Amino acid sequence: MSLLDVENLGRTFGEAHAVREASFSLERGEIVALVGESGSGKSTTARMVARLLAPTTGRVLLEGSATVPELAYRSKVQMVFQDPFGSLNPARTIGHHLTRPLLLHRRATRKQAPQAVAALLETVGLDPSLAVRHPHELSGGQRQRVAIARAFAVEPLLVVADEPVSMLDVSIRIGVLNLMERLRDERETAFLYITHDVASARYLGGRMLVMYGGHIVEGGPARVLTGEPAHPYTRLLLAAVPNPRRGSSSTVTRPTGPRPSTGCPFTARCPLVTDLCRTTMPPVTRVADGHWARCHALGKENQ
Amino acid sequence: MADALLAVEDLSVEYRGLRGAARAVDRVSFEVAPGEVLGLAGESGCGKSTLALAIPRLLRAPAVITSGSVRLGGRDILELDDRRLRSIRWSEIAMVFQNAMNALNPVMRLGSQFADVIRTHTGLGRARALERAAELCTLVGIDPARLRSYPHELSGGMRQRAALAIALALEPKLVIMDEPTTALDVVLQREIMEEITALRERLGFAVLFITHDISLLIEVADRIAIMYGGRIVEQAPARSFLESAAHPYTRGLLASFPSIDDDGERLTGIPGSPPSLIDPPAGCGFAARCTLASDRCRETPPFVEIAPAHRAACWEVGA
Repeated sequence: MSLLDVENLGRTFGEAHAVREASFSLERGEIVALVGESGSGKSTTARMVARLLAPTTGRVLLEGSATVPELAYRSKVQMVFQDPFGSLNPARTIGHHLTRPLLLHRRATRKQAPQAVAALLETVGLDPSLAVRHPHELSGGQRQRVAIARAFAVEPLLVVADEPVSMLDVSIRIGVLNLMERLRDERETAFLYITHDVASARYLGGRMLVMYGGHIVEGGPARVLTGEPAHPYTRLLLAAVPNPRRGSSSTVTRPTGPRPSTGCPFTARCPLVTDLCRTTMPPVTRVADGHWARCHALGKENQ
Repeated sequence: MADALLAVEDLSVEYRGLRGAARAVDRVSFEVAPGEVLGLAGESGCGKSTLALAIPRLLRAPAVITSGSVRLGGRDILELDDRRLRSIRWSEIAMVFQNAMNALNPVMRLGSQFADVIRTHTGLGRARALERAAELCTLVGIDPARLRSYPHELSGGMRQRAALAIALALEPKLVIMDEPTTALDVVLQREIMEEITALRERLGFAVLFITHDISLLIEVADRIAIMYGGRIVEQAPARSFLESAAHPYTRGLLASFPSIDDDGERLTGIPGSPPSLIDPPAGCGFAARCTLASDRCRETPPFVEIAPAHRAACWEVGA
């Protein structure tokens, strides 16, 4: 049984389809990166997995069950947000932020709480003396570590991290990524890492899912997917990443029209587009072990 | 560089507050040659955006320029009277900001914003100004019909193209770009960067390109300057930057971002956090985070040439 199964998940906002037919699973202790540009539907997917947003279609199963009660779900699935300034209450101490989940989820008594808070801070590489501080006294990197410590107060099985380092300075981002990796190793916590930064997804290893126009268009081991991308969008994305070691390679195609309402979302920009792509969303096509993509061109190559 | 387009010398900027003055830019000197792209990289709080605003004198209180000169084509911008200053802004020196939504007026159609700039500086009539606006839109890949749109009707990438077109309206010699692509995703970033490169080849303007993304600079800049704690700590040609970067801070920055084709080496980032600008440490601002720091670093290292066209401010890598 997988830790998490996402089945045919969809979400509309009015006329707009933010997410369509998203299906994937996550194993215990696995890091899966969900990569896409703004508007691709990655954050909407994250919020549905964290149960902060109800899906329009499909369902999310935790340990095989789609009917886990609210409190139990939150004690197993936690979320870390992009903005460590907005996710902490400026009027409350760091200790308060960490004590609340400990008490709410009965992980500690009021008497045990200070010790548990100190342990949490040490877990994320912060000095326990920070408990009496307020968020404004901390740097952005320290604040994001507090947000991670808060998520770990309930000893979750899965942490959904939505762009956890994109607002941090370059020199401290890697420390937070390394922290996530260490927590995975030590506690077997799974991570769903939402990012637009394909290089950081590759750095964390694990599996990678690429989202475009509401669809997950490719999935596979991060190193394989970044080395031998199968979907034309993934290839475009990788070519656009600045890479001083490789030198620039320009393959950018500008979108020529609005996003189509039927068929593959990438047709307006795709160099391989055919009439079939405009009417029918390509099925999941196997590329190699654990590596798949949704592209009609791919189906032809394999036949 | 005798024929520099822009020569900044000994420039200092302070923010004056109740708890004292924070020196955001500390005796900074550099030059930009005509048609050159100088990349300026650093983390938040290093002073790079303050420096960008100080050059065309766009800083507002409590920021005060406390020393230095900013020479553009031989004239010191800091000495100009208001009328002269207005006449060189936009026509000789233009800016593109990170967030085009904030740079464009949300309640004015794009066409009127182009026309405002063009008419203020050239005296063209409204009809001629709109013709010129249409040319500029075509130049940056926007359908001229979009001149009738309001900024919110454009996508993020389109707005940034519009901001770029307005900056180029009077064919300035220098365009200061402060994180122009940071709010965009990588595919759009790549498109805008290609646009900038093509326009520069065609129109010949110089660029001061400010970003936190060194890997982007290595691709687009001719030379790169690294800023830390209000000072430029290293300056070198972009071409060989990856190999030749010598300052421990620069090396730390380069070891902070994962690459798309590395072989899985573990990165460490830089421990600690940047220095306080209000009560800065004596000597080298990076010493507290530096693995090479010694007693000598309590004195400010001079910014010296360590190889041809390559300068650094560090006792350990100095001559």
